Amino acid sequence: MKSWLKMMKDLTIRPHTRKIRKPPTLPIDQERNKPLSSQRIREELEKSSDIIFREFSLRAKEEIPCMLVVVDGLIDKSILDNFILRVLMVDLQADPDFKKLTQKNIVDDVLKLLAPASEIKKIDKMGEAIDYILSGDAVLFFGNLSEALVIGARGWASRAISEPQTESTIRGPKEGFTETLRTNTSLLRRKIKHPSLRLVSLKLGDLTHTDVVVCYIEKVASPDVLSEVLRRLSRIKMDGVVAGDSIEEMIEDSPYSPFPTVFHTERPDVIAANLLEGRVGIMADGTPTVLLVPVTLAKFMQVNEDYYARALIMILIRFVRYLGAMIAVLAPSIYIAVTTFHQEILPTSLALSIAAGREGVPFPALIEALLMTLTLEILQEAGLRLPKPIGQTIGIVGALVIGDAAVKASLVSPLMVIVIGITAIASYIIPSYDLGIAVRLTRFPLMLLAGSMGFYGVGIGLYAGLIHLLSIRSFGVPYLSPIAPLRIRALLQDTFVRAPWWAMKRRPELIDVEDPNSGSRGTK
Amino acid sequence: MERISTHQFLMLGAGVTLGTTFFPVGMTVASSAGRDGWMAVIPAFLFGIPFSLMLLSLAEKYPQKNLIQITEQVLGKWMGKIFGILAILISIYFGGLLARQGVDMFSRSILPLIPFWAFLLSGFVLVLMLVNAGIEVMARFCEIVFPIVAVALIGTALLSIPRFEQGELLPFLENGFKPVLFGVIEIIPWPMEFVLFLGGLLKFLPQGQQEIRQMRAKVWHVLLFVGLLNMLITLVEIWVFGPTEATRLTYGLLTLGKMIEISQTVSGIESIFTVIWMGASLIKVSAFYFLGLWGVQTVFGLKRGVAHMFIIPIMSVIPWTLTRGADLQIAITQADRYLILPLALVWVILLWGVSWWRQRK
Amino acid sequence: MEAKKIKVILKRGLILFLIFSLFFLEGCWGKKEVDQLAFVIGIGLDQGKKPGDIIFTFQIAQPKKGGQSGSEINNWILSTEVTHAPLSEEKVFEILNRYPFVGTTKILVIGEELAKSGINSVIDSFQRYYQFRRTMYMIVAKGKAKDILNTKLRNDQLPALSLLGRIEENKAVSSFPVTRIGHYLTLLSREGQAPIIPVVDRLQPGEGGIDYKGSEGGEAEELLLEGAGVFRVGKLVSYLTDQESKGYLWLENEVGTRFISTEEMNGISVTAKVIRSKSNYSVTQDEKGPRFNYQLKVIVAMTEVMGSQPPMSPEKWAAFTGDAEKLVAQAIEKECQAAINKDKEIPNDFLGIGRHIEQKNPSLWKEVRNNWEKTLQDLPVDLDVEVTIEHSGVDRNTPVSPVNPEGTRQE
Repeated sequence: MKSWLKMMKDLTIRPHTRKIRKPPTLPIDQERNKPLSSQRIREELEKSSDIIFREFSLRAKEEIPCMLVVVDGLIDKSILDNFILRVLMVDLQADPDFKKLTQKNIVDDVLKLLAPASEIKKIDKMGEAIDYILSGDAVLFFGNLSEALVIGARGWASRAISEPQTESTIRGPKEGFTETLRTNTSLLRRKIKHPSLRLVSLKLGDLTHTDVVVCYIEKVASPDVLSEVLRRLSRIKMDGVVAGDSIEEMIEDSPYSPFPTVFHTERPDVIAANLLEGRVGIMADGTPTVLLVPVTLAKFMQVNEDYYARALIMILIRFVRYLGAMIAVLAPSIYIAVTTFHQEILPTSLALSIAAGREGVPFPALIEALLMTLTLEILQEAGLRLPKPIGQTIGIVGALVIGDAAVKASLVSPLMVIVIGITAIASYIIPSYDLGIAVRLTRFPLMLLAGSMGFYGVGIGLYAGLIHLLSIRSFGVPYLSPIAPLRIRALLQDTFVRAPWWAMKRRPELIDVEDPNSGSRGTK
Repeated sequence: MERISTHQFLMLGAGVTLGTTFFPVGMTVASSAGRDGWMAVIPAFLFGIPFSLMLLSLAEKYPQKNLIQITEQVLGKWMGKIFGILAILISIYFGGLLARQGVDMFSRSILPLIPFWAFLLSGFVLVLMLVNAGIEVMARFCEIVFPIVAVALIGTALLSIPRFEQGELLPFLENGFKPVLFGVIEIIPWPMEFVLFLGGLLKFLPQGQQEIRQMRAKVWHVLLFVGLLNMLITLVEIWVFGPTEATRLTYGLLTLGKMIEISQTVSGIESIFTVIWMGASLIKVSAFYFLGLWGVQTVFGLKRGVAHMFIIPIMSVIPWTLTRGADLQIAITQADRYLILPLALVWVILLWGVSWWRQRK
Repeated sequence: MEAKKIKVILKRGLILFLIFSLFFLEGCWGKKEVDQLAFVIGIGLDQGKKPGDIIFTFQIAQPKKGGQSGSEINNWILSTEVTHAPLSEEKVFEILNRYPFVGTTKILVIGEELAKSGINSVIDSFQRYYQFRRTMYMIVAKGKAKDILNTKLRNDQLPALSLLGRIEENKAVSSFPVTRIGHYLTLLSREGQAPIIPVVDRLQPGEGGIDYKGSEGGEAEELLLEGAGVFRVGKLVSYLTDQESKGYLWLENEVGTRFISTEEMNGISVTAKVIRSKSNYSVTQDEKGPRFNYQLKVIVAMTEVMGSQPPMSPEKWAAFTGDAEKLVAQAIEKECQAAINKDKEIPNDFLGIGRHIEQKNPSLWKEVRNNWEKTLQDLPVDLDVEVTIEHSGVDRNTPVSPVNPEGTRQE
């Protein structure tokens, strides 16, 4: 019994509670709070080939040996050459006052005199110096002094702002976030020019030291949600945050749910609009996707274009979208239930044509549907990461294999091909990729249930799903929020329909936080 | 501490009161009141109003307590325990019967060959999921499922219009009011199921003055709306089948569903709609499970997990004692008439009376 | 802490168990693939050779093998002689590799002989078994139901489907009554109204005013739906003629669209197409006793005026329309009167006059119900038919030639 329990425990308890990954500790890590020493810095960083140590000396009252440390590639060399080295080595030397300076006060004096740099700062700790150097700033050491200057001259190759490929729209702004955090914050700041837009900085990842910015609008975002976001972020213990998306898993409420409880987007306009509704955004350096919390299921069925086109049209389109989602979830299982258990609801002629199509098909409907759905998933996943020219081949092979040859060989019935085809197309109508995956996942248990217990099985699956959806929350907000618990205004303004802009006089009550401290799995 | 809003109170109350009463309602009232059976439905449901209002006034006086706790305070510890144990036993027993009824509905009408343990096992998992998620989630569940059930009932009624028999409802009150009165008495226990559930729910109701006033109105809405829905179904059943046939059909609503044809595209909607009726059945069974759970927790002071261990075995054994569909009908009627009705009547009136009398003194 | 962990483990274990159990549940419990079924469209019921036996004839639509579309259907007819209805299904399964699926049954044809000896005990299974629907149509066969279903129609359609098509389009040309099994059962439980069921007969070429070119053997190849049979306590007691059943349709408000032609008056007869028809009834009491009164409001359009008419001015035409309305009313009255006479003639109230009295005047019904058959025979039944000719098509009077038969110019 005991060993069985232990085995079950090993199988089921989350791995990260058993073993916590720790970053390697270097000798320098012990010295982070010690006074600066250019010698130690050099010893520690010399092993990396991308770090440049530029040594020169200032001829003031006495000769001061200096060392400029930068990371090659993270620094704008023209700024370095023209405005730092040139100023220090040529312009300052020509200044008569400069000759009076002594080594003792040189740091403060250079701080005052080195006019052409806007970002300049004095530091005196080892740890600080290393962080700044590795983040792309230039650090200037003077002799053996325990103070140094940090001069901001960051500049590196980055992707230009372009339209995000995963979220293309017809109307509305076309710009998208890039991998650079500053560019991203600037894009956001350009949308909301009000002091109440707050951008709070954090560093995450023990090795990567990734900059993370939590953005929200003061007095609009719920303070409970905000403090919960900050709390969960601060409790993250990870070696590295290589992409901001991995933060999602660390802060979401229900990690075992197939349904996403964190929304992400690459579009500044989406972030801006959601911040205005009271949500909190989490941007990470190096990632163009920005996370948004708290979110509800309805959020995943909306796209930014809903708000740019006219309301009446968008109401119809949203209706189509919800219908598509229903079909994507239910079509195969209803087909199975009807053809194997409830043939009586088919009109006679349809029943006959289904029977005719299934004539000679060797598999039962359930196996047939499972095979087809699996094939669809394989095709989808295969086509996803292929280079575009090869991707077309997948399409053709898929169409021939599933569509035509399989029917001709009597492996599947023509109606099943239609059902699976409609299901596939309908699932693409779900705007969020995350929710789309969840829907694809829920299809399989529903199909199995339908194959074993007909509509009763479908009912079991649907009600179990509903209870699950009702019991999860995203940062304290019930996941099915405007529907249950009912918030009539939010329901009528922006859930199944979208009210025209002139009718949305009040901010939606989406964010009614009941218990912000619930959940928060995955954080330590 | 979990709390539900007044709107959730409305939906939860309506969901629990409606439950699966729309299945037997046509048969029950038509058998005693014949053609005029539909008139008996609303008065019977309105009968529950005074009792619900008494409970709400008790909730105002003794906030954050359920009916058993109030009884312990007003009538003494032992009376509280006696009534509590009675309520627990009745609710677990009735919950088991209702679960069996849900299965009966499926195996009679669409899936005759699936063994009933399979129905019970999978349905029970859902009930446990719902109960485990708490009363708040249950209330939200009702917020979604009850409107769907109501729409499905109204839809069935509307789609049955082509099957109406001309003038079938005429003449009204052929035999006077007496048969209608008998019909009312037949279904008076149904609103009492809601009254009992409300007794357990008291603990979770909002406490504000204004909210309690709102809830007084909502009690009316609950019983009136459920009465209207049941009346509609009875009316349609009598109109389509005639009183004699309506009495003969076990689940008239399902037969109605079988008769619906939508322009040669769908012939019969009963198997699709059973998925919806299943939700109604789920609400009702879960409500009685909740009631049993609260009772066990209060009377014996047990923790939630232990209380589950107490209820699950009893509740899952009861459906097995009734393998005959015919016995089930009788058992449910008798449980309604001789267990739920007297308990609710005696308990609520006694408690309210004593507390009122003491206050006057 | 430890207890909590065990709880978590149990919970996860339960979920895993449930997920895996799904795989084992598959493949049992009344699951039937749609291609394992034989779709029964129509069922025929006949008296068997041995007493107590019933012959069940199943008309099964079977999609043609390899056929890509459902329109290619094989007609597959099987008759079994058994004592009880469900046994027939079992019998069919003994010779068929498919399971007979009766959920698609639309037509129930009852043989004449069986109808006369009573059908109530036979149809019990059709209202009890969950697959059957109360929307099935009932038809009485002249002769044997088996023969009706075995008729080889000239367009190769299944007889049951052909009958179904006509019944479902009944509102377009309402020339025969329609009875669903649900309606039959409701009427069965009523006092003071007897159900009627339409009659189908096989039609030889040249019979009944319809001719067609049959194949060599001289077998009937078409089916005629006309008239009705009256049932009393589940037994066929008499037949209604075409005229009487049409009268029933008028009085019971079941006319959708149909044609009605009048007698000749002044050399002119009119045919009209019914657009709308509404019947009403009332019960009055005077010193002689109760009177029953039907009011019929019919709106028609003229489709034919036969005979020759002089050119008419709009005013004259309007006057003629008034006359024509009376003619049409007479024609309708004639059909209705036939039905009422038949209703009184046999002790069998298929018009439901008794039930109508109950609806309008329950206390009167209580007086007369015990002696109803006699009361009905003496009951005066009035008939008011009000016809409105909405329009007369695209033309006014009949075609006119400039020369009249005698060769003189027309005035």
